[in-house]
Amino acid sequence: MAAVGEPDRIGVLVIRAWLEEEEGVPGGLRARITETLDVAAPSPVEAVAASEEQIVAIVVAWLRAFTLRADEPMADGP
Amino acid sequence: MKSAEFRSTVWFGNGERGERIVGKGLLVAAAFARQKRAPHLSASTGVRVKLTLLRTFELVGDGTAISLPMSVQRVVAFIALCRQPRHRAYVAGCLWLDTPEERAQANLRSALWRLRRGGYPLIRATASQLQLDPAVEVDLHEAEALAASALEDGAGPAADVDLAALDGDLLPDWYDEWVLLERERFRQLRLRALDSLCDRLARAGRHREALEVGHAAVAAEPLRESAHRALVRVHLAEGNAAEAIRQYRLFRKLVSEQLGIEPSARMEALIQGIDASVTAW
Repeated sequence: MAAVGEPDRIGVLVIRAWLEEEEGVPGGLRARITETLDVAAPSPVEAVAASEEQIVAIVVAWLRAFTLRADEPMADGP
Repeated sequence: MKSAEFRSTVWFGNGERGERIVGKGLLVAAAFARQKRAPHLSASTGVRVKLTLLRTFELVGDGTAISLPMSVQRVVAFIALCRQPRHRAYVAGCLWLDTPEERAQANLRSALWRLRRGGYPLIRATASQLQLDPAVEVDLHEAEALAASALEDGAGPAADVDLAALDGDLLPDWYDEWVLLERERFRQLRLRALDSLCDRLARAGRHREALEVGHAAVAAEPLRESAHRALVRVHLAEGNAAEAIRQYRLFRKLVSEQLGIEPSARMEALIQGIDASVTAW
């Protein structure tokens, strides 16, 4: 879970990760990632992944999108 | 009972978005009657108050919906989630993180005043501490008790299972950190409870109910293989090989399209040995 940005613009990304049992032991990594770029006007999007690399790629993409959005003027600001 | 499609909105790593039908089954919320409970009445007012935190925030006093501003809803929800008395400074600090302490305390006092003005003393307040009135019924607390009983070692499935109580997330459109953590904790609890309940109902020969519980588990997280395996096992226990194969194929398609992987060896082993004429279907 992460929350970054200015107090008046907060994005949230939640990673639900679990291990599927394989041959009786925890094995395959799975994750469902819920992300929103602005909790004040939430438009949650879900992504799924089955490896560390996929999860990292999704997190990086979200951070980039959040950073780009942070450069935009606020809709309700002066 | 109504038939329903369980859909999942997905967003893939390559930027594509889509909506998938991940399962088809009965609307479990309508399948069971709620357990009857004696109404809780506030000692000070004699009013029955019910607080809903699953799926949405709702407050009902003596059968009438009570409208509260968002700032007051947050105070009520936070204190309901605490389950024990909390210092005012702690509550104010958690709810107004980016606000100076004095201002946060003033916001809290204002919210408590608005709540009292409505005539519903939901919160027991002393000079230093706050606590939810024990007479307030909270759906989350009831759902947690139900989940705990479903996970008790050696317990058989109840005669009448209130599945609707395990069919919703905690305040799904709230993003406060204290909600996120509680939401995930409760989500894990209900997923484990649904798995356990599905197995116990199947062992008790109550296959129709086991299927409904299994579909609820799949709807809660469509990519959990254990939930799909449980459904396959119930279909096989019923002697319904065609449905077992259909569930297996649905899962195989789902993980192939969304994750680019195959079902595990455990899943494959479940359907091995099914009559070849069925698998050819």
